[in-house]
Amino acid sequence: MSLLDRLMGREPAKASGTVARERLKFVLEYDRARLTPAQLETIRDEIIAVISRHVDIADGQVDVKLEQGGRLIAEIPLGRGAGARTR
Amino acid sequence: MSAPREQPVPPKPPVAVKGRGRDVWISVVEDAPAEVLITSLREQLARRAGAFFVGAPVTLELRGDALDMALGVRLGGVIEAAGMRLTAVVATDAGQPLTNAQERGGRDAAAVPPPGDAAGALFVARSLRSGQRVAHDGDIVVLGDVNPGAEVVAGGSVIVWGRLRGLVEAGRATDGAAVCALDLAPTQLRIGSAIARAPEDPERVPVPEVARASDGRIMVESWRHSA
Amino acid sequence: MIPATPRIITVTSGKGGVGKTTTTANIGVALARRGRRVAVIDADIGLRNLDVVMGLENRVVYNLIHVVRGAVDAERALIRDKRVPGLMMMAADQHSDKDDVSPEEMREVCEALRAHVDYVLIDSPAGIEQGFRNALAPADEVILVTTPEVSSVRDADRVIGLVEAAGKPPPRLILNRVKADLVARGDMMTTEDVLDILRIDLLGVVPDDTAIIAATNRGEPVALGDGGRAGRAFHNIAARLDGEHVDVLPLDNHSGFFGRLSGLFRADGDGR
Repeated sequence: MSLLDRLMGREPAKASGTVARERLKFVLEYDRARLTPAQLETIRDEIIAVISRHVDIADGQVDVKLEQGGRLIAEIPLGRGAGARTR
Repeated sequence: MSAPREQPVPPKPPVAVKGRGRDVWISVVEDAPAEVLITSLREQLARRAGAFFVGAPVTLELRGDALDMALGVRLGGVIEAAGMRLTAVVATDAGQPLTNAQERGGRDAAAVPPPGDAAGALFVARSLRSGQRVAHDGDIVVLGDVNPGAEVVAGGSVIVWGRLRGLVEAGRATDGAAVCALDLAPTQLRIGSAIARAPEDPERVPVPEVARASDGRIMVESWRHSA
Repeated sequence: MIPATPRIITVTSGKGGVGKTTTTANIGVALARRGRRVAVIDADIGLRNLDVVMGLENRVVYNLIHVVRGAVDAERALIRDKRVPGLMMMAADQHSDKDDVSPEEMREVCEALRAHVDYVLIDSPAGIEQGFRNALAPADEVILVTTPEVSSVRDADRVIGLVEAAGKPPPRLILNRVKADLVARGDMMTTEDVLDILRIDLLGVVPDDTAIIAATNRGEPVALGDGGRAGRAFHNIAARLDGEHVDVLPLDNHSGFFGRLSGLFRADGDGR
């Protein structure tokens, strides 16, 4: 990798074997969880609906994904008007 | 000496013996004379005798529109002689799609055959799954569910100790027949010439009910012991 | 724990084309050369591969379906390999299909062989449907063959789940067709990568070896001889199955993998 690449913040190309391993780990999380894309979408929508009742969230940026070891992680950025809502 | 030649395999037997979990399903897969079926079953059970079979509950699956109870009884004898317990006899219409089955419900009542010698209650000690059809000239009692896509056709009454969600026809051969179920939700119900469909209601709570025909209409009331 | 005798081992893979049949044949040869009585059964009903790979295709008279339908006893359908005493093979039938055999019938065939053999190796068909379930039913142990490639590892992962769901012990891994040069360059996943992903125990690593092609052409499994990288790997696998502790061969004399790989095997519980 050249000095120019480093200055421009380009990362060194990974060896394809490493890429293969990372792709496999990612795809197997989903295979093993047996969650369909449709189910993930539904989970995401329902999380947005529930949390929105309590705080203001930036629902365009809510992300639900599977992490290593079979954990479902939801990232829920709060909106600008965040703070507990009074009903 | 010439090289040995591969021998042709024996033909597939007309009766198949297959385990499904703890149960054994003995199915007539090809039409053949009764003697051929009996010999084939007897030979297979003798050859394969083992711990797997002794005392195992057996469902005998016959082919055709209606149960040939005479054949069922003879095959049942072979099954019991091998130390297994015959718990149900069902008929499977091989290759009949469901739409044809629904059309059969509209047949002319005059075409109903008179009750045969085998009339008496038929007892089916398991659930029926889609594609399976039980037909009998007398009453039919099902200990289990009748799943969507399954059919029960009785000359007399039908009693389902479970959920009735398939197709049911009762009273083809007698008057006053009834259909009872712990959860009466058939896709189509027919008693004599009266037909009804269960309303689709996802909120419904299953409750035992009995259906009877009255003046050409199906009447449903709750099924409970009278005091 | 000393495994029960005879041991019925199903060799499966998930994905086809990873070398399962060749591996099964060679393990059979290697075990028989150690003095074991081995029956290798082709469970791929409707296709037939094991006989050709072993070079016994002209000797098939009766096959698995003959046994299942009661035409002959299981022993009569076994072809004795004249090159290796103790090695026997039962062929599949090409004209039947997977529904012509049930899991119980496979168990019954293996039961009938118990008195005659130390090992039964069942060559499973590829896939995860009825043929695979038939082959799995009699197994006491399972060997999973995979190559270090994305699709075969993914399919292998699925198979591991199915094997465990069937109540069998976790399979042991044979990593096949490993190319030392690609691994060294980073263009092929390493054994540790695959083990990290699949999380099962390693039984052996078989390097890619062009000698296998000629061997299959001739119907002479490489394990019939003593040399060759793949051949020696198969002999080591057979030794491990027999309970010996054998370090993994270095993939390549010039690589530094030996030290890392030798730690990959856990000692057998019986301390051999």
